[in-house]
Amino acid sequence: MKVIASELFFVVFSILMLAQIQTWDFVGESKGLSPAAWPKMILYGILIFSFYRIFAKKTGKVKEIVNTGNFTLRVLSVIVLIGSYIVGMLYFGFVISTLLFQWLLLWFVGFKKKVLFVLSPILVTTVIYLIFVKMMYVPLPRGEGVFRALSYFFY
Amino acid sequence: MLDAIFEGLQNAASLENLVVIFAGTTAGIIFGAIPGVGPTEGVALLIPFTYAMSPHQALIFLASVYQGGTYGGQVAAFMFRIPGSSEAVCTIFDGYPMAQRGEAGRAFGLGLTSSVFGGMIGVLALIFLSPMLAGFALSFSPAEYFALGVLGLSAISGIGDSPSKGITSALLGLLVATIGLDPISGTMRFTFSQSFMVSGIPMVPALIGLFAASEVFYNVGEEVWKTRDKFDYKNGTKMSMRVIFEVIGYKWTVVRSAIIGVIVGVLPGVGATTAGILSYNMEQRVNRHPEEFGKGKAEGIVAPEVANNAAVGSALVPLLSLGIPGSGTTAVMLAAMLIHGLRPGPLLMIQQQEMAYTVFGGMLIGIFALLIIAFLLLRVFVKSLSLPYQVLSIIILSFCVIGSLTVAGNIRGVVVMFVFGLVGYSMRLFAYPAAPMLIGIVLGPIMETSFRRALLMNDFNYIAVVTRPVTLVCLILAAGIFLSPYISKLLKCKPGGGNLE
Repeated sequence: MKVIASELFFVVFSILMLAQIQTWDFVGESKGLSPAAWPKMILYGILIFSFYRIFAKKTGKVKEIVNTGNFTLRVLSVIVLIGSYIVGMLYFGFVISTLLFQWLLLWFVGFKKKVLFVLSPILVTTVIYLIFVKMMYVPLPRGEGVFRALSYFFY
Repeated sequence: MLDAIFEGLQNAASLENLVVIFAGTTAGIIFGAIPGVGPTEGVALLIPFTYAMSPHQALIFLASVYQGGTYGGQVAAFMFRIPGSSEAVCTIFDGYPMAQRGEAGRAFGLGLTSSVFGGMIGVLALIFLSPMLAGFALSFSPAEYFALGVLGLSAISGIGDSPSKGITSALLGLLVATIGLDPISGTMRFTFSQSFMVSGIPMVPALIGLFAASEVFYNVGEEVWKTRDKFDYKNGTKMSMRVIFEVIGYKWTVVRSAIIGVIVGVLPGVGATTAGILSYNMEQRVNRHPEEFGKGKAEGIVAPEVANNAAVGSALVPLLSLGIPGSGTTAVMLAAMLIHGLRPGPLLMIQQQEMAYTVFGGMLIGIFALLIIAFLLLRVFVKSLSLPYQVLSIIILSFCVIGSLTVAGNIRGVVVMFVFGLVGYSMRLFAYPAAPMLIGIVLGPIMETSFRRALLMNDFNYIAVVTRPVTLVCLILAAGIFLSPYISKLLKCKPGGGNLE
C-alpha cells in the first residue's frame, strides 16, 4: 500500500506542476526552447517512472519494502517542536529560544541524566554563541520587545 | 623545473611560513567541520587576516584553509550525517554508517589518509600538469558540461534498493534546482508569487535538512538511544595506522578517483563537489559488490575523499595559469589575490615564478600539516560520538539551525532546512533514497544552463550537441551506467519470473 500511495502522490504532483508551467511556454518560444522545457522533461520523467512502478506493483514485479521507519507521536512532537522553535526565534531571540528548544527536546526524548540534562543545552548554546556571534559575527535573530532589548547584552 | 620546485619548498619551509601553514590548516579543518561553513566561507572570512601578510604568505595561508576545509567537511559527515561542506556530500553515504556501527576511528582514518593522498596528487598535478590541463579544460563547451552532468547523475541508478525510485528522487532534485529565476530568460519558475523564492532554494540548508534533520527524526522514531549506547565505542575510537595500508590496498580506487578529481578540478566552475560525486559513481560501477555501497563500505569513503582533495590542487591550475577560478573557493581566492596586488594569469607563472613555486611548496607542506593536525584532533572528534544520542540530537539540530542561518543569512534558510528535513524523512519512510535528490540539486543548475546554452550555440540542432566527441563518450558511458542494473538483472532473470526492481 505504501508503494502505491507514494506513486499516486507523485502522479498528482506532476500533473499539478505541469499545469502550473503551461504559461512559461510562451516565453522565448521563438528561440526554440522555453523556460518550461527543462522542468517539463523532469516532470514527464517523474510521471513515467511513477506509472512504471504502479504497473510493476500491479504485476508483482516490485518488492514491498517493509520496516522503513516508525512515524510515532514522539517524532510528531519533535517536528512540531522544531517548527515552534523557528517561529519562537523571531519572538524570543536566538539564545533564549535555543535554550528552551534544547531542554524541551531532551524532555521529549525522555533523557534522564539530570546533570547532562541541565548542562548540555547551556554548553551547546555557549559554544554556538562563541563561534557564530563572537568569531564570525553572524547576525542572529534578536526577538521582539523585552527579548530584543535583552539580546543586546549578548550580541 | 625541479630546481624551481626545490627552491619553492625551501622558501615555504621558513619558520614564518610554517606558522602560516599550520594556522591556515587548523582554521580550515575547524571551518570545514562546522556544518554550513565550508572552505569557501572559511577563505572568505579569513581574507582580512591576510592583510598583514606578504602576498605569497597570504596565498599559502588561504590555500591551507582551502585544503583543511575540504578535509574538515568529512568530520560532520562521519559524526552527524551532515556534509560539513558540500565537498563531502558523498562521504556521508558510507562514512556515517561505518561510524555508526562502531568503526568511527577506521572511518576517520580512511578519510584522512585518502584526503592526504588526494591532496598530494592534486598539488603534484598543479605543479607538473598546469599548462596541459588548463588547455584541455578550456576546450570544454556547454555541451561537454551537460554531458558531464549526465554522467554525474548516472550514479543514482545504483543507490538504494530500487533504481526507478533513485531516478525519481534525482528528478525531484533536478526539479528543486529549477525553483527561482530562470538563468536564461529571467522567468520566475515555481516561485508561486513569493519574493523569497525568486533566488531559488539555498543548497546548503536543503542538504542539511535532507540528511541531518531527517536522520534525527528517523532516530527519534526508532528510539535509537535504547540500542546505540551498547556499541563498543571504546574500541571503535581507536585509529590504527593500518588504515594507511588499507587505503594503499585500494590503489586502483585511489588512482581512478585522483584522475577524476584532477580533471574535474581543472574544469572552471565545476569543482570538488562534482569530483566527489563522479568518483563515488565510478567506484560503485566498477566494484564487484556495488550493493554494499551506502552501508559503510571503505571504497565509498576513499573514492570521494581522494577525488575532492585532488580537485583542490587542480582547481588552482586555471586560477594561477589562466586567471579563471575552477571552483567557488578559488573565485574567493582570486579576489584575495587582487587585493594583494597579484594578477593571476600566464604572466604570474613567468614573472613571479619564485612566488608561484613557493605557494606550491607551501601546499605540499600543508598536506603534512593536515595529517598532523587532523590526527591530533581526531580523538576529540571521535570521542564526542560516545555522548548519549539524546544529547547528540540537540547538538545536531542546533547546528542544523545555526548552519542554515549562517549560509542563508536569514530565517528563510532555517525554514528551507526544516522543510527538506520533513521531505527527507518522508522519503525515508517510503523507501526513496535521498542521495540522488541531493545529486540532482547540486548538478541541476550546471546541467540545465549548459544544455540550453549548448542548444543556443548549435542553432537548436540536438544532433550537433550530442555528437561532439567528449559529449558522446560521456553520454554513452552514462547510458551504460543507467541501464546496467536493469541489464544485469534481466540477464539473471529466469524465464517467466524475476524481479526487475
